[in-house]
Amino acid sequence: MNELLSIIRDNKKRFADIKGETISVRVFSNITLNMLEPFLIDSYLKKNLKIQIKDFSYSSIIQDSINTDSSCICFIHFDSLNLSGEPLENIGNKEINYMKNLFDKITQEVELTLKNLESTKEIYLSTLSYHSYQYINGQDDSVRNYIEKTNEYFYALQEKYLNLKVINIDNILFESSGSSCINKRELFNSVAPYKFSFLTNLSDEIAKFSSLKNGKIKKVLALDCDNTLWAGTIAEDGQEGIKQDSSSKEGKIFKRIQEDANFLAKNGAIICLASKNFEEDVLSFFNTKKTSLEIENISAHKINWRDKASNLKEIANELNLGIDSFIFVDDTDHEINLVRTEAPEVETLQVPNDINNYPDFFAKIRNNFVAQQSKTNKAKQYKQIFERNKEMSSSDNVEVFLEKLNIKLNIYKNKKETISRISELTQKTNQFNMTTKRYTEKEILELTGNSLVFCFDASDRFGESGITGAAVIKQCDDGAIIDTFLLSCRILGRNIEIEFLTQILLTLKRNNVKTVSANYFETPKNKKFGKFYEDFGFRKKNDELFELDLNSANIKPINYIETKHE
Amino acid sequence: MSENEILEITQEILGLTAGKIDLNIPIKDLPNWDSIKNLMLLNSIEESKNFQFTDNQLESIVSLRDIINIVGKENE
Repeated sequence: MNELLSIIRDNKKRFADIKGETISVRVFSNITLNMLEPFLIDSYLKKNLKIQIKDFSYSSIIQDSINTDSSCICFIHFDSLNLSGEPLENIGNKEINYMKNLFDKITQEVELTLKNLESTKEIYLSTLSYHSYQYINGQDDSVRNYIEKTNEYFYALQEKYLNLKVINIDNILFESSGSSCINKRELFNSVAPYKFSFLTNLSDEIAKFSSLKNGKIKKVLALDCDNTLWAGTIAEDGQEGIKQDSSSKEGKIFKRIQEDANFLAKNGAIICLASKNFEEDVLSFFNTKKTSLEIENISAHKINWRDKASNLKEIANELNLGIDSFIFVDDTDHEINLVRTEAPEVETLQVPNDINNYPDFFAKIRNNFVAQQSKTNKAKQYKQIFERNKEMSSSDNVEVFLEKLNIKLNIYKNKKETISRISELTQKTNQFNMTTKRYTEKEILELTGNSLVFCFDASDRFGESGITGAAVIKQCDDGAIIDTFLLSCRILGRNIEIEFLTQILLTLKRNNVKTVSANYFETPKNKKFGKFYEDFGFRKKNDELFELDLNSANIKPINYIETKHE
Repeated sequence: MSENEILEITQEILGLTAGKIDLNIPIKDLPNWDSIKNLMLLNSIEESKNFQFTDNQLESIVSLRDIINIVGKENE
């Protein structure tokens, strides 16, 4: 089917399926970028986000950017194919002063536009592309020099405008097969120089960074095994028939895929297996053969003959993670379509038919993960969760199980060394996050000056979880208000949230606070924790506000959790 | 690319319901038409068929029927 036709139709269907608000996007550009619309909507929908393009500003960018709504996402694209406003003009033939003035004007226009957009949610700014300029006008070192300097200036602006992310257009051009993605006829006809391949890749890049800002972080890479991690089918070809090492061409490709998956595990991604196979065959293969993806870097697996959508949902439950944080890679149409239908929140990617394209296909997955992960190996932590939850679900009495866990909590208050991690938690936590307020490090630092900022690290007999919860308590006229209260999904299910809140309330009581209010702002993600404050004993004042009288409340620590204040 | 597919993509780009498109009237007289949608239509046909309309072909296009005829000849 025609690519655009299938994108427009898919967009309509998925737009109706995905819950949540629709974010407005404004595009400011010196070329005609309107054709970006279906591709950008598609890229955001793949990340479970709905957008609508409010407008495309073409000629009067600075003027149009005034009064932009702060909830908007903005994309600024100055294209080097139309630097002077005349796509046929070769600026390399002009006087050096003309060029200097031209680039000065561009940087001024960009900075004035950024000032106008300063309060907006997110801004994406393209670099100028020397390569696209070169494809049309030939090589010119002085133009290259000006473009490089301008781009350096753009990158430096990221320090000044914290809502700004610069997008490298030359990388996108390269991914879109270079000059072949430029439509010269339309460059001169309608100043719309780019083909669909470029628009697709540009949209994916914007949506990738934007989804991180909107808490749509992919954490889990769930992989099929046969013909996804290795060439061959283990049940039919046997261990000896599997190709996954340098002794064959196909083996070399799959070795590279396993190396990338292993690299990802070491850099914060959670690797899981979802395979239709006999479990003992696959585990024995990992244990006896030299696989480049090491078994200790696989956090969870479901290897059985059930449908993969159910298996992925189970893994999500057992890891305490949202299913929308999953990317699933498989080689078969059937499995991909089934997961798309039964678990539409999962991002599904199918192994390319031409296996030679698999390494660069997987490299894109790797780069997307690397852009969003903290560079620590979480495989061990998630293996602990998987094992703990498995043991808990097989235990007859959960309380007895928890008592034997030997849970320890260290609570920190306004500690400088924890600021970066607390900010990271506010940016990434969606499920047990009562207000989903996102704070930068600078904002957390400011809060430590005028509020109480708590966090904790936790451990139990399965291992340590690191700093996995935080709270911000602000003073108000008649007491204190819990502005932020969140726990990483990694540690849910052990009543740690109750103990953390208990300890905070006891601290406030010791400081003569009489009344504590708490905000809860419902989102599709935190819905299931909507009754947390009420269950604790807070009185509901309205849908978003709860209150507790500390004098009359009976607040007691949980006896099986050992707590220290540091 | 079939006649039907050209009709379908035109419908989707212009946001029209099925059966509302007259193949013989000038494209610019179709409901919701604008120059950007025209560009999307032509680009989607070109990319789908992996060919480019020549300048002469573009100049000769008035109605959707003209596009279908050109694409038909390219298919031969």
